[in-house]
Amino acid sequence: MTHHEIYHEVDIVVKNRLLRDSDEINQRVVHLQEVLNHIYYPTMEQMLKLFELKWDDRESEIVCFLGCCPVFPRNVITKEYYVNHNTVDDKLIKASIHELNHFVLFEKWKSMHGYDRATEPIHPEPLWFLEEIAIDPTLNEELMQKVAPYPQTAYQQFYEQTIDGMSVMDQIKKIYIIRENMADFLDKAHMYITSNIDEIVHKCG
Amino acid sequence: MSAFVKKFIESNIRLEQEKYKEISFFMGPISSIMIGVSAMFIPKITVKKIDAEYNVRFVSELLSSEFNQNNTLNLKIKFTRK
Repeated sequence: MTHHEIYHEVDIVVKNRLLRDSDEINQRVVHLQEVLNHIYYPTMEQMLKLFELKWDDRESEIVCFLGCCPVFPRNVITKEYYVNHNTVDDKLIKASIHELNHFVLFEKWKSMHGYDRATEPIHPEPLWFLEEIAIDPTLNEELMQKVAPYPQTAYQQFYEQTIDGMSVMDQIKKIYIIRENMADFLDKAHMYITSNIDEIVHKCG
Repeated sequence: MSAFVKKFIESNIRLEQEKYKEISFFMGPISSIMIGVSAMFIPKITVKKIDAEYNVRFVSELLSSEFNQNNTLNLKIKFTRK
């Protein structure tokens, strides 16, 4: 089956779904904007403090798109993420906090090392792994949980797969705990991932 | 094929949503935190409806990559797609 044939089929199914759910999606847009307004600003403020980051005011908007989304993609460069429109509020908030963490980490990394590429880090680049693994130690910080009480977990593989007898996540958490500052953590965690990238990809996928 | 597409979408939406389980939601405490006013610049957040053409392109590309050589659909999303 060719991509064109698949596109044709998807075009029918997705557009029918969007048309059928149009009113519901429009209502969800209004509702979720209100819900996110409550939690977003205190969460973002705390996250920026945690990452010791002054946000570049040229990046003035983060956009959450609602639609027919079998997976929830994001783009750390454009600061956009996508969720399925019927995702319940609390799951959408948890997903949003997860994505915000990726955006903030990416901006912190940019402030440290610059980033000239037009495309965002993708699997299996070390920075992609860092974004995904750092979710746990940073978002489960007590100060973060006070404003955004949603315990967060990274992909299960990072907790299960070991390198030199220690799980990937435990190693990253160890680096996090003894960090001098957030930049120090990101550099050392990135170095650890880079040094073990072949084994991480082999074991974690 | 449309049945496959529908099944693919439904199946993966469920998988995706299950990733965000173990939720606790405390709107009361969160609302009270909003009393403070931040001095730092924080970008605004906006919720929008997806563009239909983008939605079609995104799902069809996802499906195309899942469509393996045996002409069957692998309904399990690999974690690298996140």
